[in-house]
Amino acid sequence: MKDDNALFTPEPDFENDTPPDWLRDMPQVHLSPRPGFQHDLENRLMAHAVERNTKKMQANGHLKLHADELVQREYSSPGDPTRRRLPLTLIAAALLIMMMAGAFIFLRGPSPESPTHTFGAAGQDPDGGTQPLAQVTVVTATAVPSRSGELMMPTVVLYEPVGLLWARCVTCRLQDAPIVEIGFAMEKPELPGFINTLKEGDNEGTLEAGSQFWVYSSAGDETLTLHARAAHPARVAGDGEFDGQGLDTVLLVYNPSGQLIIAVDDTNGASNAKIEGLPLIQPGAYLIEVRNWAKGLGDSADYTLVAETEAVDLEFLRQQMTTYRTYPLGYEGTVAPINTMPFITPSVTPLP
Amino acid sequence: MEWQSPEESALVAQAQRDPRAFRDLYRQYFPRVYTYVMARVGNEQDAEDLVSEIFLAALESLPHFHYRGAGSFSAWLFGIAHHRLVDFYRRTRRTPVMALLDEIPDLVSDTLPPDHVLMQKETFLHIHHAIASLPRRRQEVVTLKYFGGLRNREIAEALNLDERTVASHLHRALVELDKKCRLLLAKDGVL
Repeated sequence: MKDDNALFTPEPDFENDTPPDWLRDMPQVHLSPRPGFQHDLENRLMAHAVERNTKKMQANGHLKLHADELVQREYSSPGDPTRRRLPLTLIAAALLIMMMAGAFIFLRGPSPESPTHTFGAAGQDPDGGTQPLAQVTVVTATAVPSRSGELMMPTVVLYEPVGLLWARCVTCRLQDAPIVEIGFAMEKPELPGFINTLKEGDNEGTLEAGSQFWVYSSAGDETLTLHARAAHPARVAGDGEFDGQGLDTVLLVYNPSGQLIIAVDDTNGASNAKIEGLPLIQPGAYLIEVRNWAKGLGDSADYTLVAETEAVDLEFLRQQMTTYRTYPLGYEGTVAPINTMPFITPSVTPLP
Repeated sequence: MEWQSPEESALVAQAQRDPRAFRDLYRQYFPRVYTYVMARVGNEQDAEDLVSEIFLAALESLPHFHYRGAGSFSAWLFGIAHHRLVDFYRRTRRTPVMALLDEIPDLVSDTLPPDHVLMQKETFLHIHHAIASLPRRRQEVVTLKYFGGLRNREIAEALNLDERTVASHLHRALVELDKKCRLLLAKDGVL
């Protein structure tokens, strides 16, 4: 709505006028709100923002990798009668791009990255472990030429699922993978007849069989720090030699539902395993498994399991768990991003 | 006067991608929006409710906002504030005139020295009373200008007026305010 006054009053450009002295400083002062109001409102807004983000992510569903679902349906489910055919031109264009990419890769030499990305795998473990905790496999790879002619390799961030309550952030450069496959190498352990009760502080243990189990009863909303210190460790921090007669501890924690939530082998260059600040969100009995990395080796298998807990409000984690997704063994398809997962990312190394 | 920072467009773009980034914009604009609303409604409780509504509405509508250069975000935000105030007056069936502040809250400033800010409190009270005697449209324009810290073109956009009309309102309002405020301030020995 326009004001008719404008037609009759050709006023000067007030923006350039100097306001009276008594008014000059007024825009520089603000009324002070009630103490805490600004902060409270900010918290409400951020809670609203998080809720909105979560809804948006749930609505979007999937991380859009380079190729869309149509391509997946066409090439990964040939037996599906409802699948649609790609137009011939698109297929021809895709073939052309793949040929260009192939030519580029051929001219450039072999790529340092394998199309199969395995996390926590061989090469990272000084003891030569080879079994991955989880695996992301790129099934197909299509490079895209940029304006300058280089091949673009999109970078995606995956939150690698480890059990139901744990995720590890992995930044990897998937080579334009529209399809990824995630598999788990872990299985539920067979429990012995007797399980030790874990208490805060030092817990003395001896590995007689392959594993020793401890149970910790948590009320939830706390973090758990565990350190499995061998009496005779296979390697101490700063000492490069691996003593095959020593104990190389591995720690695994299962949540009250019996699902593995974390597994840690070596910590800080030593063969002793340590888990720091593991969030125990849900109340219940957590199972802790101590293993010797090299089963059957070593004649001194005494260790001390040091446990510390700290009460923490984990509501923020509990809320974000709603966006968490797990993938079954052999899952094939797009991987949904979990951008809001927390930042607690302990190191995870291969298991024996 | 704190105008838009050069990073504002980046802040807006970031907040449109991730609503959590709205926090920076909120922190930047809260003092101005709160002061504007408080100056319009005159009591803390109503001001708090309205400011909450304004920022929640801004957060919700942000994905639809198109940044068109410096000033466009503040104009958009204060446009929301203006509409919320209109709704408030309609809802409460109050006469849309500026309420008188029974008790002026403390004033704060990032740029002025504290003793100067203290002196501004009395001036603020007189200005506020003088503005309350202006016609409604001029009250809005002057409040947006001097309590919301907007430029003329931003006021024009927020109120859907022509920029020259805004200048006209301001010019006339200032003439009236100058008379009234000088009298009041001289009486109190401020001038």
